[in-house]
Amino acid sequence: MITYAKRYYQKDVIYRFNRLVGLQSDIKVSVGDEVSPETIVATSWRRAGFRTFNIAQMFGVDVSQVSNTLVKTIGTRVYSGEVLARKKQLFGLREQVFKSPMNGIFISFDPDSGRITMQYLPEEQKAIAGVFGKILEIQPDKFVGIDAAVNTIHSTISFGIQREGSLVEIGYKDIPLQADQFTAGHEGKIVFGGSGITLDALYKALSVGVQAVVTGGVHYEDFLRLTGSKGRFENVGISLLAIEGYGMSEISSVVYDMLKESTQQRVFFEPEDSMLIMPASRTASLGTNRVKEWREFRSVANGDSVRILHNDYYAQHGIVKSLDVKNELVSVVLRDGIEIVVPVTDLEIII
Amino acid sequence: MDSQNKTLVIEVANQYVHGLIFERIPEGSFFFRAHHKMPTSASTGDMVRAMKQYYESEYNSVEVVDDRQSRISQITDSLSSYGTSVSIRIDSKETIVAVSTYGRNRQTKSLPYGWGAGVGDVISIGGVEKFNTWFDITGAGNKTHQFDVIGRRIQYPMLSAGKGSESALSAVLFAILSAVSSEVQVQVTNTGLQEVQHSVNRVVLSGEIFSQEGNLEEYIFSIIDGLELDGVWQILLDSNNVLSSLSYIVPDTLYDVGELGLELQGTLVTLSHRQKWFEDLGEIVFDFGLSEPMVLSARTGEVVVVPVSGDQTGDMVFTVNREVEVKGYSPNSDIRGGRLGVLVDMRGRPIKSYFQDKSYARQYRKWVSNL
Repeated sequence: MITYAKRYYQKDVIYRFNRLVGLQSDIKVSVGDEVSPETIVATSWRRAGFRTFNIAQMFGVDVSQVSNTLVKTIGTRVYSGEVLARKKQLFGLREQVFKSPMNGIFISFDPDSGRITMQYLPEEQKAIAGVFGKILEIQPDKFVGIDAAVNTIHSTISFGIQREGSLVEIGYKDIPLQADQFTAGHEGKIVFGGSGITLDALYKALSVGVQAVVTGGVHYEDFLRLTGSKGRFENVGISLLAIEGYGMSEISSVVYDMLKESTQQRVFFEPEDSMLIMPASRTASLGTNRVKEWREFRSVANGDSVRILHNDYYAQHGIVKSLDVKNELVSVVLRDGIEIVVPVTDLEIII
Repeated sequence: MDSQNKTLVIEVANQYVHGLIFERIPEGSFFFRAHHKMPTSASTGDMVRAMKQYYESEYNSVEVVDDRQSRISQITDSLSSYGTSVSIRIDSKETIVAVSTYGRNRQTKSLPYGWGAGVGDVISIGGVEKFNTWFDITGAGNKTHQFDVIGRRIQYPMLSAGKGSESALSAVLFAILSAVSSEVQVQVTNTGLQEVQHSVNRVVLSGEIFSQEGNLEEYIFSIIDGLELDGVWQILLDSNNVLSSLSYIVPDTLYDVGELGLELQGTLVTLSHRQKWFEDLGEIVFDFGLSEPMVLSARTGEVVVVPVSGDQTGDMVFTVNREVEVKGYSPNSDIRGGRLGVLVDMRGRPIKSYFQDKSYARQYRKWVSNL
């Protein structure tokens, strides 16, 4: 009897990993180079945008008076903490100042609104390899292809674009993630935890700058609302991995333990293959086992470790006790000792 | 099993591979004998070999379904010698629909909708709200859970259609058939021949959930309302997944579909009107050759089931208001029962204009329990 089979994870495997690089990047490696996680593979300059400040409002003056308060001229480079505008009060005995909160260039002043605009200074971006491996291919302005030694975690459902960040645990394993659990400290991180996430909590994570959330599940209704016309590879500012699929379910213990072991490491989300990539150890970098398909069909046998897909016991794990080949039924003993009988296609063999 | 006069027909669909054995009896007719399915888990060649191996020496000729669309179109023509026939085969990510009238193909289409990966396309055209409407009018509890069940089918299209899945699957079926009816004309055709022929209009639904155990009653209204059936229709479910294979063994007109593995659910007779619910429409007399005719007081907003079998045919006499129309009915129409019986649908048409009625959900549970 054939049914679904899945790998939750793979350890010490070789994976062809494309590190995306921005336009006009300066590639720092060559094909054939061996790299380690901290190796810089490319650098680039990123223009981070603009900020506007309403000086008239801040100083409480008429817009016609704002030009008299400016102490910098348009085009000047301004560093964080430098005075941009100054207003004298009480015949010069007191003064109010506006200090730049950022490094940037003073690029414009609108005399009709009293607003000034600052452009952030370009920042140098350094793309690190993130993994042990060997450079296989370089596509300037697109990616650096690395044959990488990695550990992988495969997610039943995922959404979003390639992300990276240091891995941080959040919330409780058996409770859905709540909006108030996401704080400014999670900015730039890939967080894991919870039996699932609601749309509200995901939007909160987005607002604090979380790169990606790894959790047990997500309701399909929320998933539909999240995905736009471009489908699951759309960039909405955050990526999501629901390890167990649709609905709320605890992340499998073995996967959770693996995530905990990788806490504070820099990890990567690969949307095409719906997986989380974690660098393997240096000793594993010489291995020859390539990453395998994480979903396939297999013939079920007594003693197989399985995950139930049937609605009543969705995502529970158990061991196959016996097979009824004629009726295509399988008897499974769940972890809590309960024995159930389900159609063979209502379970998934854990490889 | 004796292999003499037995044909194995193999269909490689995008979810399962079906192997069907048909036997020719001395009189020349074919009988459906056996069905086995395997998940489509390898190349077409490998799957065909595996199916042949499964049946070993139980057949003496083999056919492999080549072009499913053409095959379904051909068999639909054979089903419609005396009326309109609609065949709909719903697979994991494809729905094939064929419409024939009086033996001639009118339309055949392949649409990207299905039980599995094809659900995404159904949702993209109808939106989440279409599903929510169906859950509301059918009184399905916990919509979030129903959506999760639908989502899991996208990941695992071979999941059984058993207990707990019916509400979600009926919503998917309704959405697929609504999409079908917006692209293909599904209506009875009146050529006047009904007066002289034993006319019959048929709709055949084929797909994995119809071959599994479960409450098939939950899907009847998805079929009627999704396709917006109006008039007199025999509803058949392909409980053995034979539809794509039948054209290999039935070159001419079909007379007894039951022998070929199709299961007659019954005949739908709709009283078409635009009146409000719970008003008197008149009277219907059923004569199925029982001890005495049955008289039914017709009321709008009701669905009545007359529990007669597929072997029992009968006449109906309508003494109803002038505004009421029974499309495609003539005294010579082939009205027969089936697994459910004769369904008299007095809810009015177009049915979707009644979806906003506050009593719809309550009535829906009553109609289903009547089946």
